[in-house]
Amino acid sequence: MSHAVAEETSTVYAIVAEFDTPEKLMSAAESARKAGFKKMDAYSPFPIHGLSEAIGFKDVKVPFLCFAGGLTGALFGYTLQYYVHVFDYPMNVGGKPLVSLPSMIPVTYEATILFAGLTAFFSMIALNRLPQPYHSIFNTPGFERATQDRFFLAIEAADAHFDAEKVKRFLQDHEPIRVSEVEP
Amino acid sequence: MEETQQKTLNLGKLAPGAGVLGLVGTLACWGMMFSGNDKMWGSFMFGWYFWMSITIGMFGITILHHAVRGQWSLAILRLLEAGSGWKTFVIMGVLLSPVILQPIHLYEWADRAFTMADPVLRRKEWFLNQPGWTIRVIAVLVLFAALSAFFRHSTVRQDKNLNFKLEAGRSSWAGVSLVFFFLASTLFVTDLVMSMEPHWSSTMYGPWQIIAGGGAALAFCLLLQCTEAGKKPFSDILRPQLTRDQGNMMFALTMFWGYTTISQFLIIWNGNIPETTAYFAKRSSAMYPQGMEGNHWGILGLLLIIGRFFIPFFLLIAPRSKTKVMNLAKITGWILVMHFFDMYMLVIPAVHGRAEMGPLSGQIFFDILACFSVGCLWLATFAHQTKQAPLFPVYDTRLQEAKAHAH
Repeated sequence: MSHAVAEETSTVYAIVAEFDTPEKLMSAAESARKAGFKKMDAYSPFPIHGLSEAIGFKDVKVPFLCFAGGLTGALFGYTLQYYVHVFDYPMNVGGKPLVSLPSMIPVTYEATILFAGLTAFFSMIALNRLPQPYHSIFNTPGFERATQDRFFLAIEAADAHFDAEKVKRFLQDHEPIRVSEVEP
Repeated sequence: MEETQQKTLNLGKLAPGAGVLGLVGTLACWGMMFSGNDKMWGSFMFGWYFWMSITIGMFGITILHHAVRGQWSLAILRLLEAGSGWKTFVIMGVLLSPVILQPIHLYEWADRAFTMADPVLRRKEWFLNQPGWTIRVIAVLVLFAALSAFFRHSTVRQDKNLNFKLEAGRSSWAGVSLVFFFLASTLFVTDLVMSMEPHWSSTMYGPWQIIAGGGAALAFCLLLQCTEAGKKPFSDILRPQLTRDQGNMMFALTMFWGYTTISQFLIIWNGNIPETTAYFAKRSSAMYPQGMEGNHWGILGLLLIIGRFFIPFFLLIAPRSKTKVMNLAKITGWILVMHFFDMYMLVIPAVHGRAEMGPLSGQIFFDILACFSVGCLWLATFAHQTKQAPLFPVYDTRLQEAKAHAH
């Protein structure tokens, strides 16, 4: 038992509190954020307005990646046509110049949309670290009700302020049904 | 925002002043028109159509709101209803009456001898003839006024009895109305504006004008809502998520404007037929007053590509420009100014003799006078109609609840 302290910090994934109403989850999440916790997650059977703000979730990466993808697509669509029309297969269409900007707009536009859409889709999957066949949160007792009628708040051990006993006490103050220590 | 001592927005007080100004200005315009100033007819048509396009746009968004009952349009529903109420259609009809009575000043097809002598116009005569045109224009105005009155009557009644059945009924009617609205508006703008250049035609015209007007209409309402965000009823409902949704809709309409505009251009550019390219030739860098090469329509076209599409497009992509009301107000104000130039470039070169005068001629002061006068009367009608019902629908409390839950 001499390694008890060291083992406890390494064998805990998170402290998870279970609530029976979204309001309790919201107030717990808000005060957790105010208390300085950053690595936390909330689970609810339906979307709750303002919950992502309450847990301090900021989604800034996907839009920028999507924008960059769109720019790449525009560049790709334009250069592809430029290459085809000028170098690969120059063709006189109705006496118009080989590089006619108006005729290049549709393909440039479509390539922009395609690249932006695919970037948004795949970057979302990658940033969420999906697919994820195993996730520690499912070790939480009673977690199957997260898709039915219960609301969960997990404060993860990876957080800089994490101290299992303090977090438990903190979560107990917000009228949870139970607070459990979850294995990784 | 502090919840104490909030003022209530009162638009109704605008009505008398704007009404008097508009009446004086309109009578001055009419005086010039009937005393042989032929260019004034074109100026008046421009001023009138600038406001009519916003009215059509507002009416379209109102019907769209009833069809899908979105939250983003709920916040501005009463502004939309006031801007496209039956009285607006009546006032706009009355303002148009000189043109309806004497279309000859704006439409060369109204001269029957000219039409029959022109091989192209002779084949369009079954459509472009004065009796048919007059009936169609008046019929669309009357039907729009009636449909608008029907929806408004229903929302005002629901405000009093809170009967959800009315809302469900509007939703059913709105689907059909939306189809009717697009067909009738297409006919309306084809008759009134497109036929100013009777040799030219475009199948994109109706959707293009509805989208342009819809964008300007949304910009107008959001500008009003965002500049008056501190006053009731907007202070009770505005929250970042809502303005973000509204900004996204503004973004969508900006994109749609770019899409319809470029589509029309592309098809004409690709076809390269003299009759269809005439539209763009008249609005190109080749059109300037003699000896004034710097004063050409191409400048205005470039301004629209950059100012009506690219600037709002890139500004509205960023979330922070939509979640802060003052940012959204600035962008929508900019879009409205660009809509002015868009309509200017659409109507003015179609007026006989104006294309050759370039975009900057002395007549521009009369264009602005006409736009201002019609605008004052339009605003007076708008302000008057905002007074006739609560500025926010009583029956739908989704937005207040969302605001209460937000914090």
